[in-house]
Amino acid sequence: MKIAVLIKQVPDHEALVRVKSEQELDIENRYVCSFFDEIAIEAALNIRKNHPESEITAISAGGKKAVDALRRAVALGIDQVEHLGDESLEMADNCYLAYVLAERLKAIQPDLIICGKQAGDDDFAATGPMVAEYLNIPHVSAVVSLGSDADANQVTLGREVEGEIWYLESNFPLLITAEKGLAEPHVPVVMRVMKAMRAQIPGIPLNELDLKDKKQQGRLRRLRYTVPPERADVAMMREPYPQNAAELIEHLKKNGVI
Amino acid sequence: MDFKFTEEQDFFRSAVRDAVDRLIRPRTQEIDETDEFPMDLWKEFAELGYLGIRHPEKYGGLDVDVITSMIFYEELARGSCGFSMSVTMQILMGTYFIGRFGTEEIKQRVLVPAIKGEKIGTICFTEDQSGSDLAGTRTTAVKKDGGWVINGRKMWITCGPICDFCTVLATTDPEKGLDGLSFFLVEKGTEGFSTGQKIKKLGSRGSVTGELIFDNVRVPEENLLGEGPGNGVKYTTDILNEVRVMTALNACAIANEAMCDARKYAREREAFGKPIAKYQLIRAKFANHWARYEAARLFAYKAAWMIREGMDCQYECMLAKMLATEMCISAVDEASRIYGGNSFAMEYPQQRYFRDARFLLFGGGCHEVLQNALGAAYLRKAH
Repeated sequence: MKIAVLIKQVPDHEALVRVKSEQELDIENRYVCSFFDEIAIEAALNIRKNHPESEITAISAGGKKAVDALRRAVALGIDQVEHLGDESLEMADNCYLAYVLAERLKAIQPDLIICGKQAGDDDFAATGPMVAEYLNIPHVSAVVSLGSDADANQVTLGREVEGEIWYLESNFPLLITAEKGLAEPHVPVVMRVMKAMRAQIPGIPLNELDLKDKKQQGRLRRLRYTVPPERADVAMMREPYPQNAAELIEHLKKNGVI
Repeated sequence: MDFKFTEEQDFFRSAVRDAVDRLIRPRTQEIDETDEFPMDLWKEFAELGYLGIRHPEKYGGLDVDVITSMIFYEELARGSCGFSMSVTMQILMGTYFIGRFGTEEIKQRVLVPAIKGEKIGTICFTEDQSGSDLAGTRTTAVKKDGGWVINGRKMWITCGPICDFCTVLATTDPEKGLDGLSFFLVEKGTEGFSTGQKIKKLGSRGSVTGELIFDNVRVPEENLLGEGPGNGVKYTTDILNEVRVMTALNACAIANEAMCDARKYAREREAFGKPIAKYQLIRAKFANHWARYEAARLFAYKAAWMIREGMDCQYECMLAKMLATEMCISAVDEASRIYGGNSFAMEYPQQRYFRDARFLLFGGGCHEVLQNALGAAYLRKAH
């Protein structure tokens, strides 16, 4: 079975993010492979445990950060990785990124494509399904369980919706997005970390892909960043129950709420 | 000049940080409270391959350079000072002489299982009457019947109560002082070798520390590690350089953890109607710490670079250790003041940083001894 995993480098959840201007964020230089993408990698590795003949390719599109994400994939156990494009993709919209990824995937022809449910930075949850649409293949999002039978060309999936699990069946090729619970990312052994440190990450420039004249930021435009309003002051009712009910009514009246 | 880490080193750091965040940090408090050696965590780290990072690949190691190993020690110390001490003892001091001087048979019997985490090793310098003063070593090794007979007691031995083997510093000729010292391998099960009581420590808890007793312990000739007897001190300098820089970076890690926690606290804690981070006296603490921390960390990595380049850097390594551990003592003190009364509560981590920082003052030579050597060296300098 051929598996492709699509991954992305995002700011660490502890990194400081500040609105620098309406057009620009100031992000602390602490990046990691997106949380759900690591689950996607682990899910692919789990399939290979059961189907050792499986070929896994991890792909990331973008600038230097994409290379770092791919190094992480190598550390976790994926030997075949591809870096698509360059820094120009960092400002591209999801639709264009999906288009670039899909063009490359047409050449690889994977049976199964696994992405994270959503990126750890913009939370769009859009790129995966868009790739599937470009490839004209089915997709299932937020997958929490996966049973595949490559010989029978069949896959059984569990999808978590509102606390319930929907079980679905599909044929290959298929794209899924990984939800927490699909797999538990492991801590890589240091031997793989060293291998990843020294790995040459092969790059495929955009001009080698069969891209038509599409605008990188055409259909979905980023207008501006704004800081969310500060939370209003919290007023604590100091009296014990039931006196605090009267205190609360008094407070609301005083502030013109009632 | 170039003060940047390479991309590869940054990647290595992020991988170690991830391992520390996921495996050690959730258990930091538990390790500190129980003061028990976390054997399961030890095995996990061994399986990940970290115990062999300084040894050759043919024995299961990775043979990384000094700077990469220092990145590992620095990140490790963010997790748990006690666990970090046990791991660094195994990687650095506990197996160093075996890897460098052991026969092939000894390496297969001791080093290979040590890298796999199946055997725990340690090194024994300190005695009840001597620590930094190696010339005061009273443990003796006497040549007899083609081997050596060791007698003495060693104190403050990290992982001593649980060790499977140890490298012991003993004098083969008490008249010669420092020039009469040698290292010997002693393995668990050797007649006359026993462990004493575990010491209850203020900090660095979870690295079980105690006494080792050598009562007519007979070891074969090949257990003398190094060329001929009497070269112990010469070899000690080689390993102490790395130990001192490692200690410096442990100090940087603890100081940084303490002040980062304090920064978060200062942003949230309000006094007189505003966060305490808005007050100039609190800001001054962060500014002073930042300056000291950057200087100490930069100098520690410079010393590591000098070791890697094979430069003579005995004094730079001493300076790095002194600078960083004193900076750490100051940082944990200032961080606890920012926490105020809460720094005195066991539920907050500041008390642990405060206790752990004290431990780093003594390993690799106490400051009073280092200062004496450094002062003398400075006075000898021409410029």
